[in-house]
Amino acid sequence: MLRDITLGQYYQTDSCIHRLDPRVKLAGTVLFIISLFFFDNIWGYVCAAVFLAVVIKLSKVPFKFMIKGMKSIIFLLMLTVVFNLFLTPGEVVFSVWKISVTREGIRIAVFMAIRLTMLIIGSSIMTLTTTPNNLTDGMEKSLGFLKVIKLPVHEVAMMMSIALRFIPILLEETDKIMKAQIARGADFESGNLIKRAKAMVPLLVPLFISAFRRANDLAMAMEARCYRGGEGRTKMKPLIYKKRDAIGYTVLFAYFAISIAVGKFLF
Amino acid sequence: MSLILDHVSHVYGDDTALAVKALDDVSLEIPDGQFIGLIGHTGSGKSTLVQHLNGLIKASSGHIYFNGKDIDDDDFKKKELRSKVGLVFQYPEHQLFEADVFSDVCFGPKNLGLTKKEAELRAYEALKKVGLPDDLFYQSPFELSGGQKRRVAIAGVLAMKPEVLILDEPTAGLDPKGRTEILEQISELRRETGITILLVSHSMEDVAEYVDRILVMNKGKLVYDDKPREVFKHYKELEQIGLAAPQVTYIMHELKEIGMDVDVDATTIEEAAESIKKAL
Repeated sequence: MLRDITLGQYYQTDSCIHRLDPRVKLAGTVLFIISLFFFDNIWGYVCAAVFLAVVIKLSKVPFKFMIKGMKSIIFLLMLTVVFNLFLTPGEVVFSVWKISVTREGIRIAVFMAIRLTMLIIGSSIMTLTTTPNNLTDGMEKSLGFLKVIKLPVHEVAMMMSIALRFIPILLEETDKIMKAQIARGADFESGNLIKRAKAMVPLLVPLFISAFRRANDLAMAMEARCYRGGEGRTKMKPLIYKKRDAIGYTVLFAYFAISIAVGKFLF
Repeated sequence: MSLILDHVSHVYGDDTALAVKALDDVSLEIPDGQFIGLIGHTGSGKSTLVQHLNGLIKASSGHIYFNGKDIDDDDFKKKELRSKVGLVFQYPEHQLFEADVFSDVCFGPKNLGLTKKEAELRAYEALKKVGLPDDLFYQSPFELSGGQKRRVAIAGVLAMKPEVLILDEPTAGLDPKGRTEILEQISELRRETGITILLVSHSMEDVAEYVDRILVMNKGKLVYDDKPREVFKHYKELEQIGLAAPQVTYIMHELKEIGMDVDVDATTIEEAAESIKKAL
């Protein structure tokens, strides 16, 4: 029941997007998100949509799979749309009782919805095509310059990769615990808010205990293999730019330049 | 009073690239009062099968009947089914959460809507039935040993007074002594209460001695469903699917080969000893 969450999951297949250096994909995601917030006409979004569609096609991840992950954020999306629709001042189009909808409100609400949807799909492409390990590797390398100001980049990256690695494990565990408690007559689905919150106790206590136990075991296993942080550590698969990554960057900057030009200045 | 599975199949991850057929057209009947062993290698679908029996997962196709009613019917009360078919999962850590053992065992009966007094009475009875010493009743369940935790977990389900008790690998991770103790306790429980028990295990040694009937699963299919001695006759086929007959079976077959007139169908050490004595 919990396995439907695809946000932040990796989809295993072999495509040119999968093979790209994680740094290209990181930069791509950041540039894509920035570009989304630059546009102030619909053509910019058309540009972004085309780019997104091409990347999705190339990544060989089924579109259905991505949409499945969107279900969890539909509530957030609706909330943003509703607030923007009703709370933006400007030229009134129509009003019911004390609430009025403005022309500006509609515009912002529509743009916001498009922006958020694309933002989530865009960033989920990154996580769907990059293994968590690869992703943190890429982050560590591209944020390496922060070491100069004494930021423990390696440690932060390690913590992130461990956190990401634990998500599916804990989800599976939650599923098992839920089943075990349902088998004892626990009810997670009915009752008011307080009753439901109370019903979570039999789920959360075993979950926390197992998370602590797993963390402890992992720490032990890491120490047993002499892990002492980033200093002097080498990698089995160091990240090296290849020709395809250069092509990736070129396409990326081309997209950025064209979409900004179209979305900001052309019309 | 029985459970019937009628051509039940289950597919995990339907409509994705990673679809796995965990159960493939399984039909069987579990009548009242039987002690059944369900054996299969890891990933053979035995855990999936037992989760169907109390409605935790829904069959992709096929029907399951409890006392003549289809459990997937809209007006069927799943909660009632879960109190009648008790399922104890493999890891007790997944269900223990209260500050002390006693209140943890009370959780199930309380969920059935019983009063505090009734729930406590049932918890006390259940803990007695699984043979947990009195002085552990008010300890934290997390401080107990593996075998004791397992007893508490079983008591937690027993306190709901199920008609069918399903135990998913109750002996996994226990030392040989703890294993025999738990199995003895379960068979004792069955003698006392006449409850139907389905014991899931991957070890033939575990179940051979106690059960009336063995179900063998392989790759989602039910391959054997018979009395232990009949199933062990296929010991060569069992080996091919990664299982083994009890050691006794091998010894008896070897003795027979070197010309001793022994009963190769003996399933327990006692039977084997008797048969060897006779042959000598």
